Amino acid sequence: MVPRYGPSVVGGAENAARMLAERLVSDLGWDVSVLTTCARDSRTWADVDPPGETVENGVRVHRFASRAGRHPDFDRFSTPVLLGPTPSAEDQRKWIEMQGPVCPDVVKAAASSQADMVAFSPYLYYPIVHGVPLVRERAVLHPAAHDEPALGLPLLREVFESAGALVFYTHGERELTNRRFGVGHHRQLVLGLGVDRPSFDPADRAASARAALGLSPDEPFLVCVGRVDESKGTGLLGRAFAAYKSRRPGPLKLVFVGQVVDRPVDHPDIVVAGMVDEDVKWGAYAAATALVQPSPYESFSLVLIEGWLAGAPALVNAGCLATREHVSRSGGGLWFGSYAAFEAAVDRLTEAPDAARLRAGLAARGRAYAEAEFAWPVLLDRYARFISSSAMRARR
Amino acid sequence: MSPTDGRGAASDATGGTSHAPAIDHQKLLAEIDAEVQRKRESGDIPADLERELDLVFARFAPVDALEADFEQVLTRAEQATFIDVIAPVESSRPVVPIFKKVVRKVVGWYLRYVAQQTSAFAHAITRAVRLLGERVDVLEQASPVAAQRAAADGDVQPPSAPDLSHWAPTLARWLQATTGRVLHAEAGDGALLAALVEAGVDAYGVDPRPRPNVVNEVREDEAAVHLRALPDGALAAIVLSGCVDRMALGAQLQLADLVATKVAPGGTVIVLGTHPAAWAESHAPVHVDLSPGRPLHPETWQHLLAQRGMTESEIVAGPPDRAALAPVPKGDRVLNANIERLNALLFGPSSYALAAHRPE
Repeated sequence: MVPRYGPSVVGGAENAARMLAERLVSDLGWDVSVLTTCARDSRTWADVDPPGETVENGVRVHRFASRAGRHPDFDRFSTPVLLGPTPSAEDQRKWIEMQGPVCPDVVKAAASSQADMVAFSPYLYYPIVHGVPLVRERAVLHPAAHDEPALGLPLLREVFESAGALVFYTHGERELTNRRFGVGHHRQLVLGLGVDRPSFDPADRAASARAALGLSPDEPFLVCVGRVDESKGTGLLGRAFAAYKSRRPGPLKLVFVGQVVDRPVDHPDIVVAGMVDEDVKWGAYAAATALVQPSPYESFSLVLIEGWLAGAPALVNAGCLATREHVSRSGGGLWFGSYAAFEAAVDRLTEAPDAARLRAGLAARGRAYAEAEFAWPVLLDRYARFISSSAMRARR
Repeated sequence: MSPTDGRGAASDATGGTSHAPAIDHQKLLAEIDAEVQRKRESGDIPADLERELDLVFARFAPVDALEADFEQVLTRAEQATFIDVIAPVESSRPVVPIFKKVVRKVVGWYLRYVAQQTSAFAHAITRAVRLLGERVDVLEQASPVAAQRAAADGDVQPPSAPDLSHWAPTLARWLQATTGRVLHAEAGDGALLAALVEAGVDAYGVDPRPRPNVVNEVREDEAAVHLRALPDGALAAIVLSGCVDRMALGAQLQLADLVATKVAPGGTVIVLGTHPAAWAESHAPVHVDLSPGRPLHPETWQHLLAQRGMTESEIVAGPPDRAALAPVPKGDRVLNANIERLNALLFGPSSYALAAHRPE
């Protein structure tokens, strides 16, 4: 059960759920049904798709109309509930309802489902908050939890406690959840996200990607892939890079690839490429000196894993638990938590005498980690074992 | 109080694949930290530039991510004691910056007055925390924590967790009537855990060493840390091994407190320990001398658990430490009796299992 579903839905947890559902059907032959609302946009939760059953890439999708979407006064109501003193139980329930989507029918469908297990994701919406406690032992909660104010709502304790099993993106998310809700003894799995290597060798697309990005064949560059948005740390990266270039004039460039929400600082060595096709994206990973992931609030960062698969060493924000965990576990990159650390790390990756050797070593370690942990066959095997054993326990 | 990360492949000194250049990732990170320190001390980075950028970093690098590093968190707190009363005035709308400038000018005297007091208070608090940190450093040097670091600094850790799979039948018997989750801490490579799961026990494990791709549910966690985060009475049974062989005495007493509260009424606590005499014999002298603690006798665990309300304890001795002296065939009776006494003295059991129960 996810609050919204489909290829047109933009959302990390929802996309992860869709990819997993489709893979369980196509690769393992499982019978997977999705219970969801008719909404596509998490800002309104307005019904867009028609209610009823469809089959999408082999997955049976049941959509239910919502009784209400996002309440117009939600933002005003939300701030004191999340940031003020502990809210009353009634205010918490009201917060969940005003946030939307209020869809009792999807909750009823989950409660009456005959499935071996019912997976829920992410943790903070009405269908999940009301659905998990009804399904209990058969509920597998994929919370996609961040350290955000909503996670502190006391009402959520019952949701986490009643889930029969929990599946996390990262070890950091698991630690956060266990610390917050005391559910360390529940059945748990750190799964991550599955990633596919493209059908082509990314190195073969490096030259055409350089051309598409307006870079000369030998120009060194750092690449940042994903939404160009202040909240994703791209503003921070732009400013740090501009400062770096003022102290280290040279050919190094910074290329932003992805939807532009907030333009980074103007600088002759910063290229804002906008949306590009998959070939250019993978070619850019392969051609880049390093992939920079400046976002402080990633719950997994598929981009980082893709970069490693294409051979790019990583440079991540030390303040992001998930990406720092990936780098720490893989040894596939460096991190920065200050300008001085950014400068020192970029120096090591670009200017040090052993820079090329270092980049190759880091990239190889990152790639080994990505393939061992997040290649679809490995990930599906891990998930299938976990779900099977959880289902067996739930039946007892 | 030194920064620790201690995770995963980062401590491995080799590259990810056989063809990749070898990199010591931990060393690399330490070199970059040293370079950052050098830049700061030498004034290489202009103070204004660094302060401006660090304010931006503070917004986009949450302090929670630095949780394991006291020094970094405290440095961040010290930086945050400076309160900037010059609020930015930019806006996408044309008149608003002028309005903001006027407001800033009008209330500036008031904000400065409040900010000075707040900064002074915050500075005093961070100074007090730094002094406290220095005191804790001194205490750590004199405590078992320091010994733990000494052991971790050198190559003195046991190469692998002991093989416990021979205890599976005993534990399966003790746990056969258990309903609910059973924790094995430390589970090592998960062999005993797998045997318990196979026997129908709903078991999971924790182990401080990263063990990717283990088949059963073995999580990377310290036993005491994991137990502390659980609600009281959450577990049907707890199996302790590994950590009980090397923890400092104070930590073992805390562990005894934890298991007695985290196991549910009617539940079982099992300790799989190395026998103290066998432990000293079976490890390298450096490990024995630098280990923060040593195993307790089974009777001591029995006593500790009984003190915490656990009853009906049972001790089972493990196999002998090494091959014993063989009696002389048709030899002198006194000689063989002495050999038997020597065997009892020199070649006692290598390990033991103890089970105790929390009354309903």
